[in-house]
Amino acid sequence: MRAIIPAPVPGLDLGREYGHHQSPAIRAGGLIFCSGMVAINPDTGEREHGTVTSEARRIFENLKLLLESAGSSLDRILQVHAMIYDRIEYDVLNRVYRQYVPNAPPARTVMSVQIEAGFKVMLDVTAAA
Amino acid sequence: MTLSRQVIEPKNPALDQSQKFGLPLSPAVRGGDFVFLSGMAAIDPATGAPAHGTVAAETRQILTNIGELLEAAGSSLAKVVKVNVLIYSMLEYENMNSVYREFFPTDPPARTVCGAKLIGGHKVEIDCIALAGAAGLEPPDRLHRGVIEPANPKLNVSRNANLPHSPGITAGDYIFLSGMGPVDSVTGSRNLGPIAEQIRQTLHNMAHMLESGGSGLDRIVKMTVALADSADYDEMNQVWREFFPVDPPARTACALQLSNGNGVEIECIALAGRSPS
Repeated sequence: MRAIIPAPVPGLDLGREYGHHQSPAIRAGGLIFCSGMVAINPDTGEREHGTVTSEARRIFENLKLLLESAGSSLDRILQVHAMIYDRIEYDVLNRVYRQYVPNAPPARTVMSVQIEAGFKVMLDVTAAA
Repeated sequence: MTLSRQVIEPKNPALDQSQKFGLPLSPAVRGGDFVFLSGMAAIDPATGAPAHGTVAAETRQILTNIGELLEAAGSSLAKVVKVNVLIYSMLEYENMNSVYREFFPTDPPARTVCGAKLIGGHKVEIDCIALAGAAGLEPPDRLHRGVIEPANPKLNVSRNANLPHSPGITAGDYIFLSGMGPVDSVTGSRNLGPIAEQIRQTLHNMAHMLESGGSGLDRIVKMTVALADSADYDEMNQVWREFFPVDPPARTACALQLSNGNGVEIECIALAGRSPS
């Protein structure tokens, strides 16, 4: 079964806010596949451009909302593709990242790419339902 | 439904980069039928130190280490279903392929290759998803790993160009497609027209590939889009609405270096089989 996971709060509906034609997440076959997450204010939908630390913090808080609304959680994440705008901030990302997945963290690949709308961080997550 | 989640540690602790470098990641995590590996760079299995070298040497070291890590999960290179390769320059594509194909001589995994800036001065980084399983046991039929070929041979880019990846792999509940670009379905050559046309062509080809494997666009659960130019984001969304009018898949898009002058490359994970009507 392919089940759409709707935005748990209005601000996280990027289709409504920015015309992104994608579902926030989809559950299928026991796994949850999330769309790439960027730093969005969950109440207002405003983009929260900031530092790597502030953006990563906001993304994890939003991921927590999204995954928990689907009956999963941050500690059920299996794999992350972490995108940062510049690899020089790798250690900055790691410092905030480890606060949110302190134990048995997910498998992860970090790459330096251009992210939409000038964001510094994007996390692409697959979790166990 | 609740899947089991289990961290996999390599038998050789030198291969655990998270320990050696204090990184917040696990080498591999098993979730249900699959094991997900972290991106691996070339590590000397004797010392755990980075083994910087040529693209060929790094690729060989990484795939050797991945084979070992997979065995710790009761899996193996032959059970890999999807690979992501990052290389520092797409100009080195063939140097990576020449070694890569030694490790996957038959029915290779679905694969996407991108040019990206890597961490730590490495030239290559590889992550993958594999079928897990008890060592030495044949997987149940449900977890059969099969190759998907497009019905239209013009769209069989990996075979026509002798590339070491399969167009798609079916495994368990899912189909994993390799990264696809805008190949003309009549001529088999690249359609490097306006970006909207390239995206349309690519999505048409993906539909054909999924249908060849008994699935379809409406069964896609996740798409990953690489654009050569981040300015093309809005056009992507417009084309997306044509192909996914309701309940679109989850999606991640970013801009990076693509091969062959492509403006777009798209991969996906879909549910196997047709939607119940």
